[in-house]
Amino acid sequence: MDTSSPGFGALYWAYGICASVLGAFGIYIGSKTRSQSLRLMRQLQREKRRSDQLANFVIPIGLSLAAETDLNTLLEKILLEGKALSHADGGTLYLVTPEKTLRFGIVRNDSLKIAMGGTSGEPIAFPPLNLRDPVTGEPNMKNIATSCALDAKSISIADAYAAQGFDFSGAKAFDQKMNYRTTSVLCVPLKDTGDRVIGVLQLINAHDPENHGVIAFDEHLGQIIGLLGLLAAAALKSYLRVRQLTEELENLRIQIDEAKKERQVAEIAGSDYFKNLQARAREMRSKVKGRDDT
Amino acid sequence: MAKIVSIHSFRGGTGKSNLTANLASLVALEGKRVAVVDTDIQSPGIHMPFALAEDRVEFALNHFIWGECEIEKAAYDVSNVLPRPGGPLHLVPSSMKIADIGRILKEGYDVRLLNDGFQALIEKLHLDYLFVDTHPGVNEETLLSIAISDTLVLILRPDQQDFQGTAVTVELARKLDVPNMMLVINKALPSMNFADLRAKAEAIYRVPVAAVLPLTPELVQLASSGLLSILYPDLEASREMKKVADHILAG
Repeated sequence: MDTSSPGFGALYWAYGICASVLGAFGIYIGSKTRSQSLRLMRQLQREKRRSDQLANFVIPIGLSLAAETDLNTLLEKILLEGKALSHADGGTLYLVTPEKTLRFGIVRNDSLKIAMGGTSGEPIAFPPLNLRDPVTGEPNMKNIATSCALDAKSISIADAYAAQGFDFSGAKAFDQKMNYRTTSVLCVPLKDTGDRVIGVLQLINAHDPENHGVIAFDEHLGQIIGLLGLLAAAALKSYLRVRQLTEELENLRIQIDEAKKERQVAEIAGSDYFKNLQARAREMRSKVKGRDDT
Repeated sequence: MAKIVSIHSFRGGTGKSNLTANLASLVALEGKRVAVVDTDIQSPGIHMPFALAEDRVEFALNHFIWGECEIEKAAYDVSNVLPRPGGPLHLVPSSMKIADIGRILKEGYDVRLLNDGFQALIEKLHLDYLFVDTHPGVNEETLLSIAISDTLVLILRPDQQDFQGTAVTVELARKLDVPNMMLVINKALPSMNFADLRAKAEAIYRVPVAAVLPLTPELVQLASSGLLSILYPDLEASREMKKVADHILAG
């Protein structure tokens, strides 16, 4: 840990003040309340860490996302920043399609050295996930990513193999094939400004930054990733809107209502004024032509 | 034999007067004797790019229509806008005075007078080209201008209302046997596919597209107070205008 950083300094200062005050308070009222004081101190420490992460990570990332104009780079940034914040080994960014599926937008796994989609140039081999059963129309709540998209809520699982209520058979089959072990999973919905889910950020196997062991995604990190998700969704929504407008402009159609045109032309061309003008124009042009020919 | 070139649009705000002023100036720069008549009597505006001050205008097209002067009396030499010597360039403005505009709107006028005025102007100023800046839309005056034109330049913006209105105008111009007709698509956004837009317009209207002019910040900045093709000749919009002028000269 970098104890010389300003963040640590402020944290240490806040911790020190609180420790002194609460410590003194604790001595005064006895050892029974000391544990409460420690709980308060830990809460204060967590809040300080949260505000530091907001200031130092989420806001700069949001600005960087908003400036991105290439979809692949944007998706990659969203996923990589989410991974970095949570020290996750892998992750997938899904996009909701008009056909009501979750399409794999980008896939990364560091220990398996997998990079598909995004700027990798590698196509994604996985088929999209159905949000609803194509036959019955029932919502697909068995899959953690589709369930997250349908309920529009974050889901954190400490151990996929022990999880109740979700079907991780796909992940298990993948693990067996790749000699991997999917443990902790965090899914965060990416919502647009109208609270509509436009994608899902799924992170796999959070690591303890100190001992590098796989740990669960903690609640605090879930909140931070959720905020990142909001910024990412805003950037994504903005990107998709710009792309849609650009495509509309590029594929501008020239549509003529022929019936309306014929009606309007007939109305004007049928007037006495127009018929007279037409006759005079013909006369004038034939005179000019006669003059030019001679 | 002088050529009459009418610049027309189905709707207002297409950049018609600006295009007319630029084309007339470019043709004059080729040494041709040119005059421009502002027949947009209800909303005159072409005096702006030619920098013709209101207080300089003693007689306007309105006064010719009311029988108060000969047409050449309302023609002002605006050759000073040209960056180098060319042919003489004249402008017959419509009156900018509110009372005069009101009188025309109230009393109307015999549009046949316009044709007499055009012919007199051609004769008196020994013109090679007479440019007519029309009123937008289709009425007796615009139909007359179209009917007597050797070349009709239809200007439109890339939007559905302009597409529909232009289709009507093209059909009417065909019935009036206009020998040369061309389209100019103006205010195209840079993100649009210009080649595709041109191809689609030519297929739909069966009329050549002489130019696709991009929406140009410099033009917006000028706010009709100057000639883009003269002040910024290297811009794409200026180069495209030159192509239209070349089409007119070749027609």
